[in-house]
Amino acid sequence: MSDRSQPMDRRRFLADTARAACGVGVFGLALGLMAGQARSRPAQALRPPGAGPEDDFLGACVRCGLCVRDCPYDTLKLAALGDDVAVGTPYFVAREVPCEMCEDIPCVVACPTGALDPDLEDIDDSRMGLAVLVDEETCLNFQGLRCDVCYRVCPLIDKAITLESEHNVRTGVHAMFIPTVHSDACTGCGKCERGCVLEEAAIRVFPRHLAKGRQGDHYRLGWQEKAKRGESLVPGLVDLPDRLPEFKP
Amino acid sequence: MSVTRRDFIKTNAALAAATAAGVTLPGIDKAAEADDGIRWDKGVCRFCGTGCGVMVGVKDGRVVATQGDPDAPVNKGLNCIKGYFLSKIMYGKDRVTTPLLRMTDGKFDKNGEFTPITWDQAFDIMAEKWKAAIDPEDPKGATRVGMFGSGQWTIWEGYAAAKFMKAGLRSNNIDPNARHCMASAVGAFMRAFGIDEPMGCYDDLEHADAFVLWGANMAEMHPILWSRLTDTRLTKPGCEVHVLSTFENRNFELADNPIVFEPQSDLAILNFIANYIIQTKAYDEDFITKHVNFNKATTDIGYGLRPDHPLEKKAKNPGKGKFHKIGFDEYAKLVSEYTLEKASKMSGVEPEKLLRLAKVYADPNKKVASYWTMGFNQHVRGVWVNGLLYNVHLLMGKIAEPGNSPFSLTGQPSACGTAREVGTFAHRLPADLVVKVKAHRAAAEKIWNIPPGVIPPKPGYHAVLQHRMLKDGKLNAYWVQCTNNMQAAPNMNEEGYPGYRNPANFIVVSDPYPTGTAVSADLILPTAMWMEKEGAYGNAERRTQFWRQQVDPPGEAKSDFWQVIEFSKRFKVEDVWPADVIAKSGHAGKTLYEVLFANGQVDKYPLTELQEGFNNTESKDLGFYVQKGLYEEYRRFQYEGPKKGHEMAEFEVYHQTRGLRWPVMGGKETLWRYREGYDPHVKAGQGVRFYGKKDGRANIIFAPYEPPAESPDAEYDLWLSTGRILEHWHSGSMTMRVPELYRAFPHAVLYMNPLDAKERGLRRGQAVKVQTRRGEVETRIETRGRNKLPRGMVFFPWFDVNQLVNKLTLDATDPLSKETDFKKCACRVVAA
Amino acid sequence: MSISGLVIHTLPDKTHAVRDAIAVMAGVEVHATTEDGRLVVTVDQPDAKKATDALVALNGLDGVLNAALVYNFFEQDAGEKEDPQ
Repeated sequence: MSDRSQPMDRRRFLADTARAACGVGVFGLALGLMAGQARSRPAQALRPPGAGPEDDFLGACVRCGLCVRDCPYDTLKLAALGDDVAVGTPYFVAREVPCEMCEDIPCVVACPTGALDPDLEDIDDSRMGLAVLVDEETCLNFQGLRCDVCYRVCPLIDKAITLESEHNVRTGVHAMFIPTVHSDACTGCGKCERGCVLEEAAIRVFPRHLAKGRQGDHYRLGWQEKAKRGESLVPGLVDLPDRLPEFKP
Repeated sequence: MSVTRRDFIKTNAALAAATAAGVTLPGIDKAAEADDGIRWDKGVCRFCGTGCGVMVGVKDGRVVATQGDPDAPVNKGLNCIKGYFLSKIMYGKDRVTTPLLRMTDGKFDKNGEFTPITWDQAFDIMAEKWKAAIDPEDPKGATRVGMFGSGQWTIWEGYAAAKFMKAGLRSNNIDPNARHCMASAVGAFMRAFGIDEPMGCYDDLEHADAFVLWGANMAEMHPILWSRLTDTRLTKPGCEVHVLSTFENRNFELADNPIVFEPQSDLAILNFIANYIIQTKAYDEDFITKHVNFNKATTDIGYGLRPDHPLEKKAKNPGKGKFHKIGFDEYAKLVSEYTLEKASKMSGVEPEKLLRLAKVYADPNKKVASYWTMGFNQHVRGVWVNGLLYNVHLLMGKIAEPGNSPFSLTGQPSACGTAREVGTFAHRLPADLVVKVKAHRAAAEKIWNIPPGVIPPKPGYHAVLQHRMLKDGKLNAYWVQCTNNMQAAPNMNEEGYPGYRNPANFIVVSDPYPTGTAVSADLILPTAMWMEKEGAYGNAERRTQFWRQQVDPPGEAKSDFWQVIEFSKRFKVEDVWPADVIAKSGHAGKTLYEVLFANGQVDKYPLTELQEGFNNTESKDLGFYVQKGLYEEYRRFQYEGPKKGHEMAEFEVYHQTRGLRWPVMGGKETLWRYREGYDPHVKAGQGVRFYGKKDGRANIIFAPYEPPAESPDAEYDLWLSTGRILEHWHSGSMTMRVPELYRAFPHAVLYMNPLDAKERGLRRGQAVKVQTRRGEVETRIETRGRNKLPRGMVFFPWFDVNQLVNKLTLDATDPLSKETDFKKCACRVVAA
Repeated sequence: MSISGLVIHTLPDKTHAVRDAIAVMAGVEVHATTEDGRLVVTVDQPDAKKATDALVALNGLDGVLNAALVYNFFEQDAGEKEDPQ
């Protein structure tokens, strides 16, 4: 049976890459790389629960590694030189080992500086990222199949991911179950991305600033505003009856 | 590794790198896609009873891809996530490819290491052990040999095995794993209608106005049917869905009336509904006058435990299935005890919900389809509870017409087609005949051309009894095919495992993979699976589907029926039949192979009838088209046997169709049975006729509430229920070998109410021990996720070989169907 | 079996030299070369160790700035026995 994996000794490969760079006499380049890394925003890396905005987090994190040590599932890793994340900071890759959302949040408890917010008491309130169904063309449920693995592995099933049923026009007798992520509940734990059975996941967790759109303040959705207020925003407006032909039975 | 595949991967590697570099590689992408050379042919999914049609793609002797058959009526091109990975199930790295015998120093040793041997050696030692356990003159037949089979056997595999045991070895000790899953449904079908299997079909999913799910988690266990049900709920105005379960499962997402009830109280709820129908005079008086008899069941029938168990000693009528005819008034009086208040109190369900449910059944203008699976069947009163639902449908006449359908869903792909229809149960013969009726035995003996008196009249050991008899040393030569019963059967600590390892016994297991059952055995036989043989399955809606052999099995692996037929060559009739029977038979000196298989019927069809371009390993070995021969002989039971209603079409027809729903007569399928115009056996003017019974009437059988065998108490304070999940098929022997499915749900967890966990000082994800009076298993707690448990109950899936739930379960059965209640025993949960 | 796809960055004036050096390495193939000195390369080796050795060797070539692994397919040898050939 074939099994895709990367069994190569990644550290050795990276170390050798660095050595090759030195070998051609660009020692300064390596230093520059490190300096650049310290500033860089991780493109995809997910931070532990309770981590604030990236700049604040990088400012507060002392790279002590205690959160990584106390993670019972080996989810958290410390970024090494060459990773796409500031060296020494904690992160996790959802597709490899997602966050199991421990009730007692040991990583937060371990953090000595508050880089991971000590006020985070309910793991459901954490916002490590946001799941996005990135590819409807390959997602099996969008084709009408009954996979919905992402939905069933979600620790906040029916809140963070729901299945929205639609009529399957092609077969005429089946429903399609469309996995739908709700940003008000998704913690970004990554169980869905991990569970996705495709060769490359069709649902992925991104840092929230990459995953979420934002509407301008200059326009509001009328029906939402009305629902919020519980009545029309301008109450008391009236309508006059329409003139209709009278029917005599 | 074929050169083409390596090139393909390399092309992918180059493409990925080129894409990353923003370079186009001229010509190379075309090379990857050009002429894929895949041959596609019709097949059927290997997993559940839904019976989804698939297309199987073969290249270079390997199944490389599958697809849902877009024209298959059941699934129209769709599959669930297990079906999506069908192409990978045969290629687990640890396929067994040669017979393996426990040996020390070159000799069989019960405690030796598994050592590769040849098929000849394997059959040698089997024949030695079987012959030692058989006394040909024993009037009871061969009670010390046995076989355990499967609702995942193909139709001819079940038929060949049943014939070998009953007509060859003179033993009724053959039973299928369907005993664990469908026996209660069968019992109720026979009692109510005198003929097995549902009267309706999947088309009811579109015709019904309301659906009621009684202990069937269709959302996970019949995923494609669930999408049909959901579609009807979405698109049909007024359609409603009622879901009953002992915990909140995925069905509840769609439920208009969600009902979580106290385990076992379904008996009370159903009697309440019948009572409500009678009190409100909603019943169909014309229908019950013409088509129904009223009866009451014998009560206090025990729990199918060992006879020395205190509960069995206490029971007044242990195992008694007799029911007695009564009148409508007496029936009305019996159910009148089950008032709304009483049902609500017993079940813990709000009265409004029960009332809403009762009203759906009682509304003459609403077509109701009821579905159930293991919630009803794995129940110490499984036959009763199945029957109580028929009572409700029969009172209203809501049966045997489009949309009005009490429908028993099967779990396995051929629980109907094989386990039930060809007679692989300890008490059955092909086509609904039973061993204890003399006329039935005589019909079988005539068709099989064996002398009268070969088939023993007494039913053999059923599944649970087989393990007890192994443990007690009364069943000594035992063959398991196509099922992982060590993991699946209840109470393995006290019954199953000691039985297998009893030094008095020789255990043979045929399986493609080294399952828990296989490694508990003494001899493992490597088995061809799914598309490695020409096969046929029969699904839950009576649809029979065939497929051709698509690829060759690996190594020395051979199909289950090849194994049975080859083994039959090792016996002369003198080894197994009494001298006086042989004298009458004209078979003296023949082998069982000659009597049973090279008998002028099974070997009637020459190899020239094989489809060109496809291999057929068994037929080419034996020299005749064996699948066709077995099937056509079996078909004689349908036309020449004493029971009608089970007619199928000729062999070749099934290779040319996407399956047909029996009875198939006059070139037509039957969608709804027992109703004029739909069913060829109902004559013009009869309207409805339940022709399985002599008077054409179905039985309403009253049965009361009786308590479960084991309930939570101070010491073991939680209900324990076990069952399946969508991602894995049964014991996981196939799906756990598919990396993607393994990753999707790698380890079983214990679903628990968060407050129950908190009360015990346990956290989500914590390692715990689940303990019962029979054993303990370590796992982790899950307080979230797909199943939401009420207080006082836990659910523990059984697919994980590293967490053997059946060390915990109790081997209490429905005393009538002998099916285990896997849904109810008492446990406690403590920190590990 | 291990098959990898890589993008190799070279010093622009050494691109052809690197290309020639790769041409003599067993199991390594150049599929494309860009004007700015990048090579698209596949490495096909029987096992992970040999694959790693080849990648390290590529990195060590004179004129190579960086070798980026883009794609890796790995399969245990045991699986190969099942395949008819």
